[in-house]
Amino acid sequence: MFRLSLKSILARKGRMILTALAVIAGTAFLSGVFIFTDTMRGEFNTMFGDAFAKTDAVVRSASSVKGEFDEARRDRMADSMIARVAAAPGVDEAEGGVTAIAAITVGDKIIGQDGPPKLGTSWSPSDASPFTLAEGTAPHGPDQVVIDRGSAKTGKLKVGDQVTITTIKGVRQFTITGIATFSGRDSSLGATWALFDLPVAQEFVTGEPGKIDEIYVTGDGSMSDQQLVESIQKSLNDPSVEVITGAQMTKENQDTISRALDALMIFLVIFALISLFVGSFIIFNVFSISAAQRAQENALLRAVGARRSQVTLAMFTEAVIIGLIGSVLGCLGGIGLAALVLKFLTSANFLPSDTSLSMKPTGFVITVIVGVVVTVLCAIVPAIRSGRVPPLAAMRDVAIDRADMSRKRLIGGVVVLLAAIGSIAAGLTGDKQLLGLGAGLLFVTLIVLGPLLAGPFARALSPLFTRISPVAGRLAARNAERNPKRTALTAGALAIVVALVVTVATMGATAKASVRQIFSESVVADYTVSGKQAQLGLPPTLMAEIQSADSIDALAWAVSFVNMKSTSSADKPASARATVLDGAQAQRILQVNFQSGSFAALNSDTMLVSKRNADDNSIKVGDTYDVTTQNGVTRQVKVAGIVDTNLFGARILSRDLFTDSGQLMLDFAVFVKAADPQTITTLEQIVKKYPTAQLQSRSQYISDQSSQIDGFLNFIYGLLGMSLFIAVIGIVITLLLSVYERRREIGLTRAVGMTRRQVRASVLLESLLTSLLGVLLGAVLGVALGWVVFQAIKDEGLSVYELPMSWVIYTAVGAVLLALAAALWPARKAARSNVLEAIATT
Amino acid sequence: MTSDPRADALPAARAIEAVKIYGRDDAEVKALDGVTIDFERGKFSAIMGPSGSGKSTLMHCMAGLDSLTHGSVWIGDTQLSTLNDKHLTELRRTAVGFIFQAYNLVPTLTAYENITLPLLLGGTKGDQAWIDRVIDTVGLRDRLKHRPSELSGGQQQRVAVARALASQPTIIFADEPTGNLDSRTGAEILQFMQRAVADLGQTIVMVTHDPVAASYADRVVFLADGRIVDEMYEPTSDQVLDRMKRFGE
Repeated sequence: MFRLSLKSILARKGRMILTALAVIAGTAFLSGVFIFTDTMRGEFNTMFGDAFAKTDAVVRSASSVKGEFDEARRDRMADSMIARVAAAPGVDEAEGGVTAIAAITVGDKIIGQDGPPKLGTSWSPSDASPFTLAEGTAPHGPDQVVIDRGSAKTGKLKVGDQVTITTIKGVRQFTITGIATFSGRDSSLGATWALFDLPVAQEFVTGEPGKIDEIYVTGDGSMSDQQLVESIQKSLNDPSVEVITGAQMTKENQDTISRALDALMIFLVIFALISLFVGSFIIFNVFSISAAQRAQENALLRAVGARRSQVTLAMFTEAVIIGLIGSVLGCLGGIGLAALVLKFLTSANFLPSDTSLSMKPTGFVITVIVGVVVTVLCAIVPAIRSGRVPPLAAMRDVAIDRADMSRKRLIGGVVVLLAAIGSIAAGLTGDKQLLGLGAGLLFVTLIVLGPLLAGPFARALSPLFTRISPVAGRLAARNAERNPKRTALTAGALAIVVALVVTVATMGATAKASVRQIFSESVVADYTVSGKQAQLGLPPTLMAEIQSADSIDALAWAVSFVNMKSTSSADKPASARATVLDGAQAQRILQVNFQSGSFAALNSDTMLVSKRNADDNSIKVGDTYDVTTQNGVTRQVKVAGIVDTNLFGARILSRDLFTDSGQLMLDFAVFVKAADPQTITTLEQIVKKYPTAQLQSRSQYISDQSSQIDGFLNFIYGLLGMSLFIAVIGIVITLLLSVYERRREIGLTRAVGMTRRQVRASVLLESLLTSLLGVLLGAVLGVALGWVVFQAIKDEGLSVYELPMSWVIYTAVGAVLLALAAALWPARKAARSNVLEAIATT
Repeated sequence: MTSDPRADALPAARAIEAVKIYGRDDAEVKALDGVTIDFERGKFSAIMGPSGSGKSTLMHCMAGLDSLTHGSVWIGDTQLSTLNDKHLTELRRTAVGFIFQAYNLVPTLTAYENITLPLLLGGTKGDQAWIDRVIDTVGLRDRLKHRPSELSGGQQQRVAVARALASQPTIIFADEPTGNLDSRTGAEILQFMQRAVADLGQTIVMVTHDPVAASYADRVVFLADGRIVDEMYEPTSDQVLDRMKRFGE
């Protein structure tokens, strides 16, 4: 039977290619994700490996807090530590260094894309440093800087040019004395680098003269790295510092980036699986159609003595082979996809131009396994149905694939629908996870009830279509109705994509409306100053300048991290993100409801918590916490108020708490009340001095915040685009197979006088009808899902539900147009079919 | 049926020195080798011949489904080789009717829709009185709303006959119309076709290898190796069978 399967596949190359195409499209995305993340991981690993290749040991403070990406933000050490380390046995060279944010600007243009870090660091003459001068000389003194070759290229800068650099300490002019490479490359994965001599870096980049972040040690070769570490530890005998090998340092950095990439990968894999899910509709459809078309052949096999199981098995074997071929080709397609994305990233200077694709075997294996499993799962029902074909069917003419068991289907569908509504209703009042279950069940309802809807839908639209074109319209409607399952599945694939797009659009619109509402309600500011690139923030000096100008009410807003635990708990302190404000400033600029307390109560010994945090974790006013900053200083703070708004995160700490903490805190925004023209002029003059800052009116800022959401939405739409592509391919495949299946009747209608144009029209109209069904189902499902998701997360800061009607309409029209475009080729093929061949009796 | 006396004088269809060659060089097959023939109006003609004699090819070429290599074919006063695909399609819709052995009907359309399909395709209403007469002639009045799958083989073929008649074409081509039917049902269909010629004044050309079917025709033309080798008027099935047997020799 295996040879029979193989022969059967080879005999129908066209159909095999079509089936495989659905598998290929689905798996290409998945393998593309693996290749992309593996490549990125490889690039980062190489970069960190290179950076610490010649560093044998690293000395750093033992005190730290965990930041946004779980990275340690460490306290700094005194300069004197360098000499102590250098004195340890086995040490050849010990170099202190500092690193923090520093943006290079020319005019008001920031060098480098938004995304990769913009860093300032201390120049090290040591061989162990990854930086090597490509031209010019090392930086020396308060007005000299060396920049990476990548920045020099993008900014068209050369030795001797003037650049402006903005750090936490403000804005200064420097002369470029040299251009450096990073481990022989232009830069480190899109980052920009400004290198100063150590004292300048200490004073200007981290703002702590006499302090260093890390000490990089090279050994004299007398001992292994591990022995060197132990030697330094012994020699220092200081619990406030820790010593690790260069290899550990590399590994630590690689692990941090790896976790971030894992999160990205999971996010992307979810969308790849959505694509595959959409693709599975198509794969199932193709197997069903091919089973129906082969009913005669299978019946013949049964008639000449093949067992049921043999016929079924033959179909499964075919599925495995097609799944394998499709998945392998899908991996190749994935390479192409990843190459495209990388080409884009390379051209945007995120990645070096010599980046080559890499993929671990696991990615390949997973893709192939997933592809084969999905294909075989899709083949189960058609294969079993094939086995059930009675031998007598060999004598019949055309197999008609009517949706069977429609009563059972109706009952099943209604049960699932009720279960969906039930779990959503239960989820609204109780466990939110039930909402997810309900959403999932809505999809199942779509699959189960779809075929029952396809028929009535086609019949309902039939008069309209018949009016458009008496024959083509009528045939289109009848054809859509004749195989309701096929129509429903093709429409279903489209429906899922439309539903997801509508859901995402709803979430986006809701998020935007909520942001707008929260800001409009709570922030009483006329102007906002913020970073042109969010990651750069604003140097605190900007706020200081505003404050020193008379009679300007302003609020500087920052976010930082601390280690925290309840004083009554015996747990280890955990990293906590906090909004950092000045109580007095906040009182003037913010209008928020307090359940108890007020901004006046915020000082270095108190904390404000959000109502949601208080409710979720049963926090009461008066509770006390141990809060530890980066430098290891712990102080007890008391909950002094509960604020009833989603404007902040879980907690607010006072700026005063961070005095002398050494934590670098850039303001992400400064809100200003500036009613009179004089104040505005003053404000404009101040902001003008900061090339990385922008001044916006309240409404501009609010719409800017919303458009950041748009950026993220567009990214998701892009990812869903792949699913849309597969749904459209599904339409092409289904129509092609249908056209092939109906070649005789098309031939007949051609013989009795149907023009090519009419044949084309009938295929196009069928696609129109199918896509209308899909779009309608998808829109309904999407609106329902959007609402359910809103209910699920409305406590997380989204308070205003908004249905983006325009998006629903764009999506619907777009999907229908794509479906029509997808039908062009099958329509052409149908119109071109050879009349004689089609009506040939044998 | 036609008012133009000059057109009436012409045969319904005619082939002149029709040559059809399939394949090239070594694989060349001469399916038609210089066939010249007229099919008169208001007559029921049959084309017979052994397998591979070119009878189906002749029919396909005369009906505008296939094109000749040399020579010309005419439907009424229209030479087919002068028509492009669009006009050929129009000609098939208005001037030619078809009855095939199988796959004769569009499965998604009702019997009535199938009958009026050529009219629908042309966007014309047709002559309702004529259509009613055709429907009554083939006896399908009570089956009009049924789909083909709900009809017996004989009923399906009657729908096909009615469809061929519906547009009052110049000529109707039937390709083994009884090939898939039992002899009783087949006889019924042949009688309908006879009546269409005798009572309704239609012209039918039928390709068949069944001597009994051929005996219903007014005239039988015998084809062998792409040439006309014989013809017979008012044949009986025995005469036809005898003539056919001689091909085997």
